[in-house]
Amino acid sequence: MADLTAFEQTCEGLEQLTELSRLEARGTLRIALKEAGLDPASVKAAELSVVARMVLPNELTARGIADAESICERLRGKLAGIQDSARAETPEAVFARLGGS
Amino acid sequence: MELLVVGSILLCALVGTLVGLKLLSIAASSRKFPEFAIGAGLFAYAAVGQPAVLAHQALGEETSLGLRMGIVLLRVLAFYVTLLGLSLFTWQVFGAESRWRHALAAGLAVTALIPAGLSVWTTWLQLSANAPVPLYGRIGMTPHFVLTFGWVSLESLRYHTLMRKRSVLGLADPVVTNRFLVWGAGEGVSSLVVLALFVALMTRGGISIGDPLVSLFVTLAGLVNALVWWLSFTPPKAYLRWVRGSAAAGASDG
Repeated sequence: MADLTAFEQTCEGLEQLTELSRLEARGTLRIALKEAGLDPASVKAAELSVVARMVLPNELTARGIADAESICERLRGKLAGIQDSARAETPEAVFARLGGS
Repeated sequence: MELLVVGSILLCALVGTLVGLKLLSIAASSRKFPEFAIGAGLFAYAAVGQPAVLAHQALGEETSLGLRMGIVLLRVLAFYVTLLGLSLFTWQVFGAESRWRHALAAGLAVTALIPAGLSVWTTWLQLSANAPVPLYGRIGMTPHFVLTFGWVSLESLRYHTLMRKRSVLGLADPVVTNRFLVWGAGEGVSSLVVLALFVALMTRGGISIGDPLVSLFVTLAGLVNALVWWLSFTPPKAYLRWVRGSAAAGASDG
């Protein structure tokens, strides 16, 4: 579990909490991340938590999943305990430094 | 018109030099490569390349061959460092592990050495033996700059679209989001201006600073570059307030 990224752990949670298959859960989360402008390979747990609050409920509802809000709330609870692993520097971190902000 | 051209080049050189120095000082404290690459590239272009262009134009026939060739060498070297800095910066920032970006940066850096060398060689022949400079000598690294500026622009604008989506969710700083837009748009304009100069070079067999169209392009490029560097890397507080205010207004409207 410790080696799984925040994205993979959320996919597993989504699979367990809904009737979505593994592929469907991953696909749904990928679509939600794309809508939020985030990359599954580098997304952080805190960012996923925001996506689970603001984007994912609509995606689940669109797929006919009942009680999407409550499922997403439980996913957020799981995300709160995830430690992000160190990863390569992001473009926004570099651009923030370049402007001195 | 010539005064306007020289004025815009001087403004571009002044702003670029100051911004380049600031980026190099950020690199000195952060010890990170991206700020060093872009700082060195900007400084070389503005503090060495642009003044060398003006100096070369201003020198008369009576100036010694050694001095004129020294200035030409300095100009070509400065522009090569700029190209190298921008390519390495873009590769490192937008995908250091991406193979195609690595190949593109390496390809630009290696292949630019050929026109850079030819440019120096043909200028040497012109100045020492009064031989006409062939078209390939005049073209120099122009196509490389079109490609590099275009690449920088596309990467930054693509990332800006991602940052805008994140901004809506409160996951991105509006100032940094805006920085991707300004930098990407500015480099896009630079790419188009250099492309226009390249087309003029190919269709007219040469370009002169006295040509009104060329003057317009060079002036435009100088002013756009100065504005983009200033707003991107040393933004005034009023501009930052405006960006944050616009983002907040957009968020409350949405």
